[in-house]
Amino acid sequence: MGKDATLAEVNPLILTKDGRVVALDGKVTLDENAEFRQDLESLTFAEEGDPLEVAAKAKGLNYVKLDGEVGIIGNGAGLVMSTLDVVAYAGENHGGVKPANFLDIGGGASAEVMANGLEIILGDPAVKSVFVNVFGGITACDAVANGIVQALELLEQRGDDVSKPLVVRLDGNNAELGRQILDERAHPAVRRVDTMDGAAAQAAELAAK
Amino acid sequence: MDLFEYQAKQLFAEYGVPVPQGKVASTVAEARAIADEFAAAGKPRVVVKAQVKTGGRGKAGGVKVAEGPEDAEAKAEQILGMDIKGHTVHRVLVEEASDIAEEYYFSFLLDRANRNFLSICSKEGGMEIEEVAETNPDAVAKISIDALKGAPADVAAEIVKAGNLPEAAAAAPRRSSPSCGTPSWARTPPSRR
Repeated sequence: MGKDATLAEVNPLILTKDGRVVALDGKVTLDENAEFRQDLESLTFAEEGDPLEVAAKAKGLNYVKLDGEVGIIGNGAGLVMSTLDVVAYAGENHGGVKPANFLDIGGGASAEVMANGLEIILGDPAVKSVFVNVFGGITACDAVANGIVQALELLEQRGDDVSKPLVVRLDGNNAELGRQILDERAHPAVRRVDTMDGAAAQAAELAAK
Repeated sequence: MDLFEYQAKQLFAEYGVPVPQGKVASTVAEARAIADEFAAAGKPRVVVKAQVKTGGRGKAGGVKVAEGPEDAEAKAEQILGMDIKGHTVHRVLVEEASDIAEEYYFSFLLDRANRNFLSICSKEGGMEIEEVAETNPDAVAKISIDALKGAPADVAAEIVKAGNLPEAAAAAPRRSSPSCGTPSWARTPPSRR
């Protein structure tokens, strides 16, 4: 409790032949939310963990690597989680493809954050297609659409490969305007789908190819 | 955030939980040097354990007993750089081998559903506790731990009784008890980079 651990496991705890009790193995999980009062920094190593997660963390993104093929970007943790479900469900009709990651770019959805997110996801060799699922609220869809367009340009300028198909669903505040921006730009990698289910199905289908 | 085994043991030692003596190594030469130290102290038999944050290390060949420093060097050579479920082994823990008479399972965890802590223990140690809970649920004891009270002697005795643990287990965890012997690596910084 003093270290804000959520788990302290000893398996096996042994009794030695000379009658001593010894912790032969140890597994401890510390609560990252307690970072402000615990020294977690000294216990971590940069090279540990998934390289994509490490890179995402360095960019300040809320990214979790998963085992599938469909890259996911959304705004808001709840939307992203339901997107994972919808994609996994749609994937059942396409050879069992699954989401490749969790990535919540939060509110704002600036071109830079979008570019960083896309860079991480496109850099994942397992990713075959990307589903960008945005519901415009305070940050309107036209701002997000501009963010996507600028992000793609930014990545192309950096020399990154942006040929993997990007299925984009925009809905909510200023959705029409956002869709219009994407249509005008007509980036070859971008496919616009108006519904979440439709976009999930298309992203799954593209990933299964 | 999950800790590596050697970090967890360092923490245990800090709180007076007895752990085997050992040191962590990130190169074969370091592992050999540690095994040499153990041999010089009359403990040539060591265990070389891959430090990765995933289960099933033993089955993957990441935990090996070595008979002497040369063997330890060879085992470290095999284990360092090994891939265990996608995790590359960057470090090994070289520990004195223990003569095991009995194996138990013991843990404390946060019990979110009951807004409390929980202790789980079992006589059936050494394997996945989830498996034991499924095949032999009676062998798994669960004791609720009051977050404010912690686990003083009476609670410790209750846990030990419920889980059929050896009686010595109730007495063992005592902060900086001299009998526990702080392992040498607990006094040196874990990072050797």
